[in-house]
Amino acid sequence: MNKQSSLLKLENINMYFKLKNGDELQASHNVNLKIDNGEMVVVVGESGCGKSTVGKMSLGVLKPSCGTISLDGQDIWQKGFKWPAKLRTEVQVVHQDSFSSLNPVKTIFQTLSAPLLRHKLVKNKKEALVKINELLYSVDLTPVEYFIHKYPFQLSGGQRQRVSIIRATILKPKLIVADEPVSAVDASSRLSILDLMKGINKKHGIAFLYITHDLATARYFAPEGRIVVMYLGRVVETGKIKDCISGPAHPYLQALLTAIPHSDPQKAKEPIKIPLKSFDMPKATHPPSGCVFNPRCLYATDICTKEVPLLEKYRGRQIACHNKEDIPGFKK
Amino acid sequence: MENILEIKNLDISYSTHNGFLKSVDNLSITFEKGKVTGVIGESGCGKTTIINSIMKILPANAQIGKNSRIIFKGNDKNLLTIRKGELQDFRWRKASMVFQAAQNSLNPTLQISEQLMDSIWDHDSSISKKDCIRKTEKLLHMVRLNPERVMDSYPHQLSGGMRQRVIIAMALVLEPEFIILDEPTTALDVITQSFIFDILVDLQKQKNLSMILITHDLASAAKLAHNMVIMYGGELMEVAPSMKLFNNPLHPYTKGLLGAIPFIDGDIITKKSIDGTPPDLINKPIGCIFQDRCPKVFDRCKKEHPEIRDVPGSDGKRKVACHLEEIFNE
Repeated sequence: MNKQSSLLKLENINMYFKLKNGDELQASHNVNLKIDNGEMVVVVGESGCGKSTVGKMSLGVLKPSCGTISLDGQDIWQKGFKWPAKLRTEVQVVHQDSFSSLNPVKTIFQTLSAPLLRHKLVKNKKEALVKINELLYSVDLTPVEYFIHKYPFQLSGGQRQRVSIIRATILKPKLIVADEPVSAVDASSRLSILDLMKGINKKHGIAFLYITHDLATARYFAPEGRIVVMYLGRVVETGKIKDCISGPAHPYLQALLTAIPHSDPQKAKEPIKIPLKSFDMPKATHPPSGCVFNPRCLYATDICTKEVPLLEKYRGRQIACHNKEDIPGFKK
Repeated sequence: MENILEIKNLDISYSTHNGFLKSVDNLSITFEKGKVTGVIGESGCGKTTIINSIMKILPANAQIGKNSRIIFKGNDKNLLTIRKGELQDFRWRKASMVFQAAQNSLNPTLQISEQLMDSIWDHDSSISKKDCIRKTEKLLHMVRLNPERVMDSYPHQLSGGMRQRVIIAMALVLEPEFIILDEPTTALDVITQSFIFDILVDLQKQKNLSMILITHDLASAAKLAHNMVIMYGGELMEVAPSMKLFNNPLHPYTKGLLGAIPFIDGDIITKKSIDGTPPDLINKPIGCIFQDRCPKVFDRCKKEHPEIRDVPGSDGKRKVACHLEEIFNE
């Protein structure tokens, strides 16, 4: 590993999609993201903000239109990079929908033994069976004999997601990209899935890139981690989760946090005023000029319609806002 | 206390390849008039089956129990057995519904004005076109949409939140007094969710509507619902006024559920999932349905089915189905 290089680094990433009608959709604009070994990073944003595109690019599934992505200091899209074998063993994924991401005609044993045999981590099926037994036991899928020969449709959503998590960890990767891993899991079992991933992070030092729209689970998942808030393909605020959630600085994050239901039912019942000018999200194919948030921002001034704000250091985090000093503090 | 709807001994099973799946088991609830009742539960708990049986849109493999009765406004007619003509009168005119994934329930080839006016004309053909347009515009204003922008648009030209508001307007078209909301904000952004709940709270107060809100999201249900019904495995676990439920949950399942939801504020250290998995509704266990996951399970729970009982001093507003005597002795 190169000195002072992060595990995964996205530098000045731009990603455009050409649509059928000739429009160009800009899913990422000048995105910079750095994940260190063993770090927990959460990417949050509403649907269409480009958070999944960031995940897919980190996995090497999508090639950015411009910018570089490097793993252990090596550009993964450079010629001569041993791809995908290296990427596959070092970066793994947990999808949102465990039902469609597990092969329906393979048993849990077949699904989990394939990578073990392919990458020669075990010599034969017998060893694989022992190994998988251990793994199922470690994620509480017990009695193991009951689960090991089941098909995905015979398991509940939470159980399937556990299998997906084992599948992601089986090759001992350095990074797992988890794209909305709990949004399809029942509320009562959601935390156990997050706990499982937190445990893996602690025990094996595997870094996580957790992609979600749910700030509350983000806070639960990585209380000490880093958050990246995206809006229309841009990073608008990034910093420590603790700081950003208790005292958001960007007007967008402030609006988002105001809209989230309060834990106190008395307070939740009070009508809330969301600090926004408009509720309509601009089209990603025709983003507003200047700061993309300016048509909805209460504090927008002339400069916001003309110049794109850059991410700058501000109160221990980075935010992209021209008027950051004039934004009132957050109260809820 | 007047009731808008009473469900008595509702039994619904679905016949499946593996046998009968008991989706709703001997369930009785009353819904208060002019109030919002939140029906909360995880997937597979039977909440959607209940409303499908109210609106009589159960799938073909559903079987309704003999003693099941659903009664609207103290009328002695059983909604489960009424004839087609009466059904037409009940549906949409007296009770309407906002469907789950409503964004996709608009006809993609019709303009919004046509969709709304169609349903007005279908139930009242005497109304003139001018009045009809005026009425439609009024409805759109009510859900905070700009008629000029929306009337001539097709669904694909609107955002998800706007489509959802059109659907809410559609439910109000015939001015029913009872509206069923089936997960009205899933698949929408948080900011839009909060906006839609705002609109619903306003509408409910203005028109004194009675509503059933079906959701799995306790936090946002608290905004709208006066009363809450907690379901698990096709049975009632707890019935309570919303505030009381949040501040002092009584049933172990309700406690577990509230303890398993991380909020954006407050503490996250004590939060914990409920262990185990949802019950098998084809081979239901003898005794309490929650026994396998309950932290307070004891012998009786495995032998005897707990009946739902009034909590003393609650005026019949609070009910719990649990064998734990400590709940009722407080």
